[in-house]
Amino acid sequence: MCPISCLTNHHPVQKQKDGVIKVTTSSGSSSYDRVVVAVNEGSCAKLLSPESVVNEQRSVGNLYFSFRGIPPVTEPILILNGEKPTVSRPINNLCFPTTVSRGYSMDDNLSLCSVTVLKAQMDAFHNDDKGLEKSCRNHLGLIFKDIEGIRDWQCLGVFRVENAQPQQYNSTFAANKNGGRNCGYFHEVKLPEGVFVSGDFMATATLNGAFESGRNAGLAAIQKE
Amino acid sequence: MMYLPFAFCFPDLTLPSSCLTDGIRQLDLSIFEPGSLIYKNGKLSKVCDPLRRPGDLLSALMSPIGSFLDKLKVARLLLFSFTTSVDQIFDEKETSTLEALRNRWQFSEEFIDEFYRPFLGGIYLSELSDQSSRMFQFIFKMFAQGSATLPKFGGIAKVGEVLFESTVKEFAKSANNFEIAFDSEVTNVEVSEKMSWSCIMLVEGTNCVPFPV
Repeated sequence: MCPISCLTNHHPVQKQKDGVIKVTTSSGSSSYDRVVVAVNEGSCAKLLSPESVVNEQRSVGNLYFSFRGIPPVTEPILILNGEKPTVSRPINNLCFPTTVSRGYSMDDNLSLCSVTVLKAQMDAFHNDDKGLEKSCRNHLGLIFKDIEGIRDWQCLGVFRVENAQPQQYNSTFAANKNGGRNCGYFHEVKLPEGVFVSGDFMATATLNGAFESGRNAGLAAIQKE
Repeated sequence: MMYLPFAFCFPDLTLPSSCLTDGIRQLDLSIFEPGSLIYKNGKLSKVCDPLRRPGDLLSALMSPIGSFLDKLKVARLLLFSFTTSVDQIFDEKETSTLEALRNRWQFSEEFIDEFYRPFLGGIYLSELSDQSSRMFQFIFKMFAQGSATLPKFGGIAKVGEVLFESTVKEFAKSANNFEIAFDSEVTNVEVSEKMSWSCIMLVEGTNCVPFPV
């Protein structure tokens, strides 16, 4: 249940005549002096500027495997696929988080493997988590060819992250603005006074950018008139 | 230098409250080794960072990933990273990362494909032609000066949890009456007459945080 989606299309945030901002949800309305909208760019556009053209969102897939014993690589290091990923070899990068911190396992004998698959390969396995898992398992078997038992590694989950990151290049409002854009504007259109926007799409397509824009909006919101 | 997961640092950002520093301390970050292992032609080879691990210098030079010229160009890029501020990086002319790697930094196609493509693809989730040269130079600087890290427990989601907890503590210090609603729609938020004004944060997902200031 997403409160923001309840507001979209039919009930945008609006500035009332008396200077109070009315926020409507599916179950009613409330009024505030300040509103910080901290959602992705698409949801933000639906709320504040339905006509806006928004950037593409980058997506990614992650698979997690657990297994008994020592991992094939015992150093806490990132492992990259130096060959272009394909449907039969879909992994872009992987790591063993239990080599970075034992906090990723409840049991000292269990190890964790985190696998990252990029969009093209995720799309090739649309609605086919089992097929993706099998392909990743085969690929792991090639990368760690001396390791037996990869077929016994337990797949803990396949995660498809659709709105992982905003587009960062080649568009008017790409997420590549160091320091963040003015949080009182959305797509260069001034918002009603007291409405502020935050999100990585307002700064850079990084966690750093998300915090940076959140700070900008927070500071603007607590600045009394 | 403060470390955030996967080298997301705050080189130029100073937050006014203790939220960030408290939060980072609570994350108890664990650090990845510098460099990476590259899988190519049936074997794993190491790309080292001799600046942070001088003992790896010989391994770096002997690594089959990248020619000797590529390694010299990495050194040039590192020098750029250490002598150029984040603001200066974002003031530079922007191209695609692929164009910058080819034309500005003049790396070989092989090195671009076997190292930069998976490395940056895993961070920015797109082809090098769809990435910004400024963002590349920014993240390269972060990795050169910081470390890739993970919270000791809880994965990246822990970052949000800890910062949220720190923020709630800050609110508790400055406001006697605030309310946090989880997994619910924003509804019936009453504003006391004693308060001069109120504020609400609409946060994606299921969290809505109304608070007086």
